Amino acid sequence: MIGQPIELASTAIIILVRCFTCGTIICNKWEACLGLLQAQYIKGAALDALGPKCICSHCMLLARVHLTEWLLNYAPLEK
Amino acid sequence: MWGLTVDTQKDAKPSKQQPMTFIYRKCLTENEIISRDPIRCRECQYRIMYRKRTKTGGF
Amino acid sequence: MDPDGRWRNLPSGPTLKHLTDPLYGIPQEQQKPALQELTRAHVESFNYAVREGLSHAVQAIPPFEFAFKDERISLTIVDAVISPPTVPKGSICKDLSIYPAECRGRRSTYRGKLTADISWSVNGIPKGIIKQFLGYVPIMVKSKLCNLYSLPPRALIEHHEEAEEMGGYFIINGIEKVIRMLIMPRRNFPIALTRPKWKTRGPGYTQYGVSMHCVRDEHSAVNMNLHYLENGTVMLNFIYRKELFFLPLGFALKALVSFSDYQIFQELIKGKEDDSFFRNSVSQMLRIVTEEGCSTQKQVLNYLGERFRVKLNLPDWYPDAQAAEFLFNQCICIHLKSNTEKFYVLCLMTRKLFALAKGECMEENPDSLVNQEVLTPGQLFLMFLKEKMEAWLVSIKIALDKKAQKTDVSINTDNLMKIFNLGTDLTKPFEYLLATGNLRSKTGLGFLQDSGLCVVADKLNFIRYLSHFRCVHRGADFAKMRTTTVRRLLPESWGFLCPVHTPDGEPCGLMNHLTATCEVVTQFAYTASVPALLCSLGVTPVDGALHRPYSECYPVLLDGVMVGWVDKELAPSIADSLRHFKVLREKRIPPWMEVALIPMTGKPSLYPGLFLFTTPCRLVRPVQNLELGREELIGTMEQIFMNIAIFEDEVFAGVTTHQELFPHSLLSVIANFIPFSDHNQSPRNMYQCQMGKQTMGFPLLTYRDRSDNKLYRLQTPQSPLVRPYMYDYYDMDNYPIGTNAIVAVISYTGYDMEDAMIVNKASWERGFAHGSVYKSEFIDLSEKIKQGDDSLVFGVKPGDPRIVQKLDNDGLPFIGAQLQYGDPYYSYLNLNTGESFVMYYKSKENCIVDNIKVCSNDTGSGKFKCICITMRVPRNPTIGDKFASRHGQKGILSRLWPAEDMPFTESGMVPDILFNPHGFPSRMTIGMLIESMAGKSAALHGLCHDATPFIFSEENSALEYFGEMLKAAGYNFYGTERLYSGISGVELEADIFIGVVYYQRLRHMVSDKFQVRTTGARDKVTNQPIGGRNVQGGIRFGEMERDALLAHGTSFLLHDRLFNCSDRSVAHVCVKCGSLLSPLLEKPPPSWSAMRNRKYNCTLCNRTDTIDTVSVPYVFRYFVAELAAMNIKVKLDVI
Repeated sequence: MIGQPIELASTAIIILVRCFTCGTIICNKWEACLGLLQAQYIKGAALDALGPKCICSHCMLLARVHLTEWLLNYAPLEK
Repeated sequence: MWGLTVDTQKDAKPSKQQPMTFIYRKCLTENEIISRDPIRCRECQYRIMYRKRTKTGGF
Repeated sequence: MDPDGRWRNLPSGPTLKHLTDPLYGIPQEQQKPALQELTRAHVESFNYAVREGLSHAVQAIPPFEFAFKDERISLTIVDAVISPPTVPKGSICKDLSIYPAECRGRRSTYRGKLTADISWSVNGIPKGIIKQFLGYVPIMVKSKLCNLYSLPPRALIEHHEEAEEMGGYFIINGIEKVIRMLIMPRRNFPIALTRPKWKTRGPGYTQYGVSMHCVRDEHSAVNMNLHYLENGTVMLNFIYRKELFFLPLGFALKALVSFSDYQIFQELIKGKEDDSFFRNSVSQMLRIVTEEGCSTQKQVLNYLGERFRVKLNLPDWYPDAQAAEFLFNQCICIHLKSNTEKFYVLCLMTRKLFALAKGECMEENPDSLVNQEVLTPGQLFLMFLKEKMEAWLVSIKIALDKKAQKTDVSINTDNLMKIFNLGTDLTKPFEYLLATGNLRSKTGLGFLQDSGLCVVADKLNFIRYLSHFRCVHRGADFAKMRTTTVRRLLPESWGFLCPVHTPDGEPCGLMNHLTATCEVVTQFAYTASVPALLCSLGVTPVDGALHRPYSECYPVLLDGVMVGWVDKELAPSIADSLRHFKVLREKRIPPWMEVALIPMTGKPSLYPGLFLFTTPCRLVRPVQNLELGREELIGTMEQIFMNIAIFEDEVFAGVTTHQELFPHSLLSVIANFIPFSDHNQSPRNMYQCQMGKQTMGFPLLTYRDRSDNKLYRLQTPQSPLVRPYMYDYYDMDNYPIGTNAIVAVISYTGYDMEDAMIVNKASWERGFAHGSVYKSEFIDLSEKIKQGDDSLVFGVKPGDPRIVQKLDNDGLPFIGAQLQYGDPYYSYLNLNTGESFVMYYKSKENCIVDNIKVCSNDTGSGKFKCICITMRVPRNPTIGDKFASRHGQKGILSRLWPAEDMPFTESGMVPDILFNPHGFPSRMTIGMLIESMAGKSAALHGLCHDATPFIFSEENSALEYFGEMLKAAGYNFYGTERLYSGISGVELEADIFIGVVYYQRLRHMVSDKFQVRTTGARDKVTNQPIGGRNVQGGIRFGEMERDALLAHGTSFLLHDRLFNCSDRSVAHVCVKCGSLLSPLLEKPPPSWSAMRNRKYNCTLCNRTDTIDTVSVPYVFRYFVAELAAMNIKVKLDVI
C-alpha cells in the first residue's frame, strides 16, 4: 500500500479552475492540453486551438507543476 | 507567540473512567488507546501515531 | 570519484516536457546524481571518518598509562565501531532500525552506538579486552551508517523521505544540522609568511616565518612555525594543549637524526652553498646545541625530555629520551612517520625561511585559496571523536581513583567493567557540539574558532537548503577583523568560489559558496608507489647524489614528504607526464592529484619546487584537458600556473592547455539559476542570490512527517518558462519557488512608487501567490510535571464547560478545526488528583489544525503525553508583503487594485503586476527585460527558453532573438503593447512593455512584522511603555526622532510623545525644601473615616501648606530615589 503509485494518476490531478490573470476557465482544457503536449505537439497554435489565446492562460497550462502526483506517493493519512 | 495560560479546576473525585480515542498510524491501522496505554502502533509498533480526522466536532 | 562524464550529459536546453510525461510523479529506480553530488563532500567525508578514519584514530590514540597502587596500568583502545541507528535492545518493535523521518517527527536525535574494545594490561602484561559502550554519536543522514544508505527513491518514499533525499546533515532533537565547511590552511605545505606581530614574540624575533599545518591521516592537526631571528638563527614553534612552545631549530634537527653535525650542515645549505652568511648562521645554530653539552642524538633527546616532560603528563617511569620522542610524535611534523622524513622537511622549511628573510622569495598569501583547503564535516567529527575518546580514558583513571578512596578496589575484569561504566559518556558532548555549534575542547583541535561550527539546514525553500551544503566560511574570527584583505575576491579563486554568491553586508566575502563544478576531495590515495615512479622519471632521492648543483634543482614534495630533487630542465616534463598519468589513470596516480610546479623565475617569486598533493579536503574542479581530450580535476595551486581558455576562440596552440567545461563554470549552483545573469549589473545578481534563499516555495513533500517550528508553502507554484538549463540539471521543478506573472512596466496610480508594486486584485482572488505557514508546537507533558509525578495525560474531564464542542475526548483539538484567539487548545488531566487543566490558544492569528502527532519514546513504551500539533496559518498576499523577480528586483505589494481599474491590453488582458519603470535605469537589470520578452514569447509559442548566461552576445543579441520570436507571433518586436487606462478607457500614449516574469514571494510578511500599540503594558520600574512586538509593545521614539521634532520646532508634539504618551505622572513636591521624596501622606488616626481627605505632609519641613503637585516623568522620580540611595539630594525649584 505504502508508496505504491496510485492508479488514479490522470484523474487525481489538481489543476486551477481559472487563469489567475484573465479568469478564463482552463481546468477543462487540461486533459486536451496534456494530450497535445505528450504528443510532442508543443506549439503556441495548439494551445490557441484549445481555446485560451492569451499568454497568461498559456502560462498556466504550460508551467503548472503537479506536485500532487508526487504527494500521492506518500501514503495518505486516511483511506 | 504561542503563549498559554493554565486554567486549573480542582476536582474532588478523581474520574477513573478514561475516555477512549482513535489514533491512527501510517500503516493505516486504527489503534484504540486508553490514557494509560503506551503509544505504539498495534501492527507495526511504530512510535509515532496520527490523530484521526473526525466528522464530529464544533466546526 | 570519477570526474569523467559527469558534466558531459548536460541537458541541451530547458524543457517543460517532464511535467507532462506519463512517468511524472512515479519514483525512478535511481536517484539523480546531480543533486547527490551537492552533498557529497559532507557524506563521503563522514563515511571516511566512521570507517577508515575511526580505525586510524584509534591507532593514533597513545596507550593511556597510569600508576595505581604501585602497578602500572595501561589502557589501549584497540578498536571502535559505530553502529547504525537502532532502538535499544528489548524494545517492542518489529524493525529495530530507526529512520530519520521518525527523529524529525519525534524531535529525537538520529544516532548510533559507539562501542570500543579496550585492552588493558598491568605492568605490561596484557590482561584482556573489554567491549565497552562509550555513548551515542549522531549519524549523518545518507552516510554509510545511515539506514537510508543507497536506498532507491521508492524505498525512501516508503520511509517518508524525499525521493531525491541528499543527506549530509545530522538530526539533533529533530532539527537538521549541518557542519559548516571552514577554510583551513593547506595541509602539509610550508607557507612563507610575514607577520609584524611575530616581532613581539621575544627578543630578536623578526616578522619572517614559515608555517606548516601538519595533518595526519586521521585528521588530527598541529600547527608548526619556524621563526627567523635577527642573528640568523631559527626557532621552532609549536602548540601543545593550547600552550605555545619554542625550541631552537638545532635541537630539533639533532634530536631527529643521528647524523653528524657536518651532514646536517650540508643538508641545510643545499642550494646556497656559496652564501657565507647562511653558512655562518647554520653553524651558529648547531654550535648552540653543542654549547648546551649535547653532541649526540641521545644527549639531545635526554636534554629535551628533561625540560618538556613537566608539560606532557607522562607516567614517571618514562625515561627522558622517550618523553622527547613522544613530544616529536605529537607536535613536530606529525604528518610524517619517520624522523628522517621530518628532518628533511624541517631542512626544506629552513631553506625557505632563509630565502624569505633574504628577500629571495616572496611571501605567500594565507588569504588566497592557493594556500587553503576546507574543513570537511567528517574531519571535524573524527577529530572530536578522537579527542573525546582520549578524554574518556582519562575519565576512567579519575573514576578509579575516586572509587579507590572509598573502597578497596582490586584490578580485575569485573571491577574494571564497572569502572568503565562510570566514564564520561560521549553522547552529551556530541549533541552539544552539533546542537549549538560550540566546540568544548581541551586542545581546541587546532581551530581558530570555537563557535559557529554548525548551522541549521532550514528548509525555507530548496535553494536555501541546498546552499547550506555548498557554503564555505572563512572562520568567525575573521569577521571581527577590521581590514578587508580577508574578504577580498582574489583571482585565484576563479572556478572554485562563486564571485556572485556571497552575502552583502557583514559576512561579505567571508561566507562564500562553492561553484557548481567544484568538488572537495574526500578520499585518501595510496601513494607509496609514487616516489618510485618519480625516481624512474628522473627525480634524485633525498639521500642520493645529484649531478647538478642544488641551486639549479627543484625540491620535490609529495603530500609534505620530501621525495628528492629534480633538475630544472627536467621538471616540466616530469610534471607533464604526471599530469598525463593522472588524466589517463595510469601508474596508480589518483585523478585528484595536484601537480604544481612552481618555477624558478630568477626574481623574488614564490618559492620554487615541484609540489604534489593527493590529500583530501582540497578543492578541485574539472576542466577539459585539450591535449588528452579528457576531463581533468585541477587544484587551486596548480590552476595559477595553467592556461585555461573559456571559449574556443581563446585557445592558442602551444599555450593553452585546458578549457573550461562551460563558460558559466565560475558560478555557484544558485547563481546558475539566475536567468540572463550576464545581462545584469553584478550587484543585482548578488542580491538575487540572497533573495532566492528567502523565497517561499515548496521545499519538501513530507509536510505530514515533519515537526519543524515553521515551514512555508506556496500554494500554486509554477515552473519558470525562462530558465537556465542548470535549473533542469538540478531538477528544481520538484521544488518550485515562484509563479509566472504578467508584468507591465508602467507607472500607474502612484501606488507603485519607490519599489512598490500593484497586484491585480482579481488574480489575487483566484489564488495568485497564495501561501501558508505550517507551525508546529511540541507539547511534552513530562516537562510540566513538578516532582516525580508521572500521572499527567491528555484528556478532558467529562462535561467540562470550558471545552464544549471545542476539544475531543482525548483533550486535543479536532483535525481541521479553526482556532482563534482564546479558544481551548488542549487539555490534560492529572490521573492521581483528577485535576484537569485547559490551555488556550494565545496567538492573535487564526489557524487551522493540520495534523496532530502522538509521540512515544525510543523503547515504544511512552504514555499519551507527548504530542506535536501542526497548525496551518493561511498567508495570502496582503499589502506590505514582499515579492521579487529573479534579478534582485524586490518590491512591496502596495495595493490590491481592482481589475476593472487596471490598465488592459488590446486583447483585454489585465496584467497581474504593475512594475514601476523607475526600477530599471539605475539598477540596470537588463536580464529582467529580456526575461519578460522571452517569457512572453515562450508563452505564445508554448516553449521554454534557455536563459543560461553567456549564450547571447553583441553579435547575436538576445533582443534580436526574442524580438523576432514575438514578431512571429504577431506581437511588437520590442515586447511593448498598446494599453488602455482602466479608469478612463483612453488609450495610453506610451507603448507599455509587458511580458511574463517569474515572480517569487519572499518570506517577509506583514503578518509577522506589524506592530501597533494604543495603550498597553508598561515597564514596572520606569512606568514607560515596553518595547517588543510579541508583548504588544511600542516602537522606541529615540534620540534621532527627538532631534527631528526639535528641529521642526514642534514642541507640543514632542511633549506629547515623550511625556504625555510615555510616563507622565503627578508627583507631590515640597515647595519650601524642594524635595520630591519628603512629602508623605499623613497617617490617619483610627477615628477618621476612610473617605476623609488626607493631606500630604513634608517630613522635612513638617508642614502641609508647602506641598504642591507637579507633573514629572515617572522615571525622574525613580531617578531621584536612586540618587537618594547614593546620598545625593535633588532639590526642585518650584515657582
